[in-house]
Parts: sequence; structure tokens; C-alpha cells
Amino acid sequence: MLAALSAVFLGAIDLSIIATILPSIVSELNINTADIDRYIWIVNAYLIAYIAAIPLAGRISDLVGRRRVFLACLGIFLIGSVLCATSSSLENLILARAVQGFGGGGLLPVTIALAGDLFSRKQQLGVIGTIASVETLGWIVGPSYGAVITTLSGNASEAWRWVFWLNVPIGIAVIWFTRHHIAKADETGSSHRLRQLDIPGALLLTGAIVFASLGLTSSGEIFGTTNGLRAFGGTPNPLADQLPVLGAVAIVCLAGFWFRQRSASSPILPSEMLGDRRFVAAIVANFLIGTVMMIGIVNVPVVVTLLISGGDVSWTSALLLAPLTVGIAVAAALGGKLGERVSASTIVLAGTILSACGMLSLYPLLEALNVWLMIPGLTIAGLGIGLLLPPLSSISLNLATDQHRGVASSTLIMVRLLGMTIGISGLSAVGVFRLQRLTDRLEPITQSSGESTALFLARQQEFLIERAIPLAVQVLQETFAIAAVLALLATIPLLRMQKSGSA
Amino acid sequence: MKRLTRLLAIIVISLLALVGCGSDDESNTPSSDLPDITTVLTTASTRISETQSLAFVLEISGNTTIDDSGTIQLLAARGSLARPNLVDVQFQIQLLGTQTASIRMITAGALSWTTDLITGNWGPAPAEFGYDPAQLFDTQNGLGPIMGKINDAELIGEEDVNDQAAWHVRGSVTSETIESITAGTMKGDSITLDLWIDQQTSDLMQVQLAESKDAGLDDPATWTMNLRDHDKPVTIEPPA
Repeated sequence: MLAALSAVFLGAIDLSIIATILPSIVSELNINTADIDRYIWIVNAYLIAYIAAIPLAGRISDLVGRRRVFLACLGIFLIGSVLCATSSSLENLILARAVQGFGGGGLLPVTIALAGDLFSRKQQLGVIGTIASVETLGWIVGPSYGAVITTLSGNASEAWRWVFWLNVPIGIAVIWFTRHHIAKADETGSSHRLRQLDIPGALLLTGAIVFASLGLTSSGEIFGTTNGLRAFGGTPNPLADQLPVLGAVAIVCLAGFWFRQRSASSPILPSEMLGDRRFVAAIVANFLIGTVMMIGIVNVPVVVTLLISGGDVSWTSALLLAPLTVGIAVAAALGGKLGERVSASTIVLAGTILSACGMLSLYPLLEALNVWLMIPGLTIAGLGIGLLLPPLSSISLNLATDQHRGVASSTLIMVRLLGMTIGISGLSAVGVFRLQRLTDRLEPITQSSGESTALFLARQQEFLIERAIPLAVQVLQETFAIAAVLALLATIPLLRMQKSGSA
Repeated sequence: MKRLTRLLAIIVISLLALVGCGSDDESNTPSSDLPDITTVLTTASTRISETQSLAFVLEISGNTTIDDSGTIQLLAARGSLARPNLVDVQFQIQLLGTQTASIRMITAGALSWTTDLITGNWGPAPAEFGYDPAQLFDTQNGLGPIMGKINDAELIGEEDVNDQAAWHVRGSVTSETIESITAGTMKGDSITLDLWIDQQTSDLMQVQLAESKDAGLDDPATWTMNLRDHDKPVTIEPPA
């Protein structure tokens, strides 16, 4: 089980590790800084593939055996890691991240299913909780791990590649460990909990997420842009014209998924669970909290890239993300203890409000354009999120029947990741849209007659620092405020849940 | 154990394949029946002077700063040209060491427009706009005349560029010779010049210019310009 947990941890690390190495990837691959709606797919591809693999890998492991599927997923993850490390273009890296994410995501349900095989029914809930905690811990330490690796490798422009290369020896060690510690007998799959999971439903869900995310990331130009390029020298999104098609396909896939869930013999989201308003409330809250977390994780390195010049972007990002991630870890432990005295739904509610306050406070804290002033806001947000995560999971698991606890646990993780994906897609669109609107209000700088292009660009660069970068920071302040609103919105289903008398 | 070995083998093979993919095309061993280099260059020079339009992608590695303080780097450019004076090109530059941005330029006749770095909006570009890709077609200082000024030209062999068999020619030029096509950004007494010329059509397929490692530069630049779609119709219109 330790080998399986190590692999889940490794897969989860790569979910968030990208936050601190993203600026160096963007710089090294010569991607325009303003093309966030394109390069955010380095994050999205992993998340979506991770989500897609969760129901599929569990089902396949029922059929061909846990160990075999576990090793295959780990192999896919390692091949994806090698592909990431050797990528020379954005397109290749996005595809590589999807391969890596599919392998990483597949490890999670197989490990949960393995727990079903190895432990008694009584022990299973605790083990599933441990798996979920290890997964959460993975993406909490991811940003710091990324920064440490890039710093140790000398902050060279290609240091980010080492983050992916390092997965290889670790993964091979886990493969060796798995081979020696997960008995072959397990390959028959003694647990049938994940049997007959809904593959068409999984594909429809994946299609809906992919097209919705593509539509969202392309929607920053919804009200048109200039007929030239975009603000900050960004290039127009080639999918912006296809927005209605992307939206329509996403809706069709979502509708198909909905109908499929009602007719499938073993749907991804069992109707008994969906029929329970309290479980739905927990799902909605998890989705919104996933969005809030991702806004924090992705926004911080972007702020740092804008306000700190030089090679210490990764390290500064990691230092700033530490209050958020450590806050989550510390408060998660506290949340568990508090649960003995206070009702779980009250703790979740308090955590939600605290995270909203933390996110909202980042708006005024960033007014001085000093990245270090974000620390109090990020700490409060981290404490709030950490406080609510364990009780939110336990509420959901307690609501599920014994038969559905494995599915409930996977669903919670899937929904949180879905919130991250949709949140990050929407965030990039808001960023592109608002930045264009704000910069359009600036007086244009024109090249004077006789002024060389070099001097003109240097003058534009000065203007960028003095006037345009503060506008970009303003856009990020606004997205932190949106995160606060989303966190507050999460209180609505939670209050309804409390009213229904759960937990 | 067999499966583990198989899995590791797959990873190792994938790795080796990737490393292999990353390497440049290697020259074939020169055969004894190589054409005369002067003929190859003269035909290519004539062909480029006849070419009416082409598309290009320029990629730059190393340090190519375009301002005096050395904070603005030229990273890449792509676009298309049509005789006599139609140009549509998108440059990519890096500012402040961290911000990468694009600027687009359209030239139609005597007028030029560029996008604003801050807003992306079109605006008129003065005649002094620094880098003019139309210089590639120039009859005095463009690619065609440069082919006649190559020192120690040598036919390296046959290679594939853009899926076409091409002759690979190597020589050197002075930085003054290529000043117009590099906007004077390349430094050093001798710049290594590599050309790939289509064996069938004599079209120039690729040009590579490399600053010397012995020139005392911190990070010598290499410009690789891939040329394609020779004489294919292009539409370049002034911005609306």
C-alpha cells in the first residue's frame, strides 16, 4: 500500500508543481506572456486527463487486475514525464502533460480499489481517507518541490525539465516496490466495487470538460479584440471564432452525460448519491473550493512574473505559495481535531468564510505592487481552505453508503479537480478580457519620426513597467476578488446542508 | 520480472527515440558526383531574384538584443513576403528578461503599420522601422546578392529540408554583408553561413547564420530562417 500511496503522491505533486515552474517554461519555450489562454493548457491538460483516468482506470483494474493496471498507469505517467522533459514546443508539452496526467490520475482509483482488496470493510474508510489525504498533500507540496528542484539545478533556463526527469528514478523505484509488495493474487481483483463503471459516461464527461475548458479559455475575446494583436503583445486565440461550436459540443456532451447517468447500470455518479441534496451540496462546495484554490495557486506565480524580474521567479513564487499550502496543511490537521468538538458543517462554513476573507484581502494588499504583502492574505486563505477540506470529505463519505464510499471519495476528488480546471479556464478568459479593456483606455504611444525602432521599443518598455503592468496586477486583484465571491457562494449549499441537519 | 523488464525497456526506448528526435538532420556523406558549388549558388541566386513570394520562419538562439541597454531581445519572426513591397511579419521579442511579446508589421506599398506593444492595436509605422524583412528580396543586399559574397563556400552534402532534398552549402560572410537582413544585430568579423538549396527547383529552403564562438561574445547568436511556399499566392492587405 505504501508503494501505491507513493505513486499517488507523485501523481498529485505534478498537479500543482507546474505553478512554480510555469513562468520558466513560458520563458524558455518563447511563449508570449499574454497568451495565458494557450499556455494554461499545460495545467489544464494534466487536470483533465487526470479526471478522465479516474473512472476508466478503476474499471479496467476490475477486469485485468489491480497490479497490472497500477504498473501500466505508472508506466504511462513516466513516459509522459519523459515526454514533458524533452518537449520543445507548447503543443508537445500540452500533449505530454495529458499523457502524464492520464497515468497520474489512473493511479488514484486503482489505489482506492486496492484498499478495497487489502483491507476489511471496517478499515476501508480510514484507508480511503488516508489516500485522499496523501493526494491532497501531494498537490500541497508540489509548488515548493518544483521551486527546490529548479533552484538546486541552478535556475538555468531549462531547469524545469529536471522536475519531470526526476519522476523517472522515483517512478522506477515505485515500480520495483510494487512488483515486490503487491501480490500477484491481487490481479484477480477480489473487490468488485468499481465493476461496470460507466465508460461511455466517462468519455462524455471528459468531452464536456475538454470542450467547456476550450470554450472558456477562448472566450476572453468574446466581445472582439483589436484587428491586430492583443494587449501586452499577445496573439489572438485561434479558437476564439469557434466559440459557439465549442460551447455547443460541451453542452451536447454534458446532456449526453446526464442522460447516460440516468440510464447506466453503474453510473459514475450513482443516482442515489445525486438524489441526496446534502451530497450534491458537498459536491458543489468542493467544486467551488477547487476553483478558489487553483486561482490562488496559479495567480501567485503570475503576479511574481509581473513584479519580479530576473531568475528568481520560481523560488519567490514557492516562498509566497508556502503560506497558502502550509496553511492548508496545518489547518487540515486542526480541522480534524476541531471535529471532535464542533459539527463538521460548522467547521466547513467557518473555513469557507475564512478563505473568502483571505482571498478578498489580497485585493488591497496588492495595491502597493509588493508581492511580499500578499503573505497575510494567502495565509488566511490557506488556513480557511485547510480547515474545510477534511470535514467536507468526511461529510460526503458519511453520506455515502458502504457500497458507494469508494466512488464518493473518487467523485469528491474529481469534482475538486473539475473546479480547478473550469476555474483556471475561466480565470484566463477573465484575465485576457479585462487586460484588453483596461489597456485600450491607455493613450497610444506612437513612434516619433526619426526615432529608431529600438528606442521606440525601449520607450514602450518603460511605459509597460510604469502604466501597463499595474493594470495587469489590477486584473489579478480582480480575480482574487472573484475567488472570494466563489468561496462565499460555497457557503450557500453548505448552509442548506446544515439546515437539512446533516453531520 | 519479465513485465517489469518490458516496462523499463519501453521507457528506455521512448527515451532514446526522443533523444534521437531532438537531434538535427545529419549530413549525408558527400558523394563523388556533387554538382559544382558555383553553379549551385549562381542558380539559387538567380532563382531567388525571380521569386515573387515566399513564407518564412526565423528562429533565433543566443543573444540578439536590439536596444542599446540590452534589455530587448529578438527571439523569432514569421510571415510572408511578396514582390515588390508587400510584407506581413510577426516578431517575437523578450522584454525585461521575463516578458515575451509579439509585434506584427504589415507593409503595403509605401505604407507600414505595426501593432502597439501595450494594446495590440494597429498604428502607422514610420519609415524608420528597424527590421525590414523585404530586405531579403533586395537586389543589392538581399539573399540573392549575399550568395555571391560567400567566402570559402563548400558543398557539405545532401540533406532533407521541408521534406525536399536539398544541397547544403557552408561558408562565411562578414557582418557587413548581412547587415541589412539582420538589422545589424550580428557581431564579429566572420559569420558562418549555411544554406540549403532545393535540388530540383534551386529554391533557397533554409538559411542559417551563426556568430563565431571565438568572437568574445557572451552568448553567440544563431539565426535559422526556414523559407517555404515559394511563388505561392499570398494575400497581404493593409489593416482594416
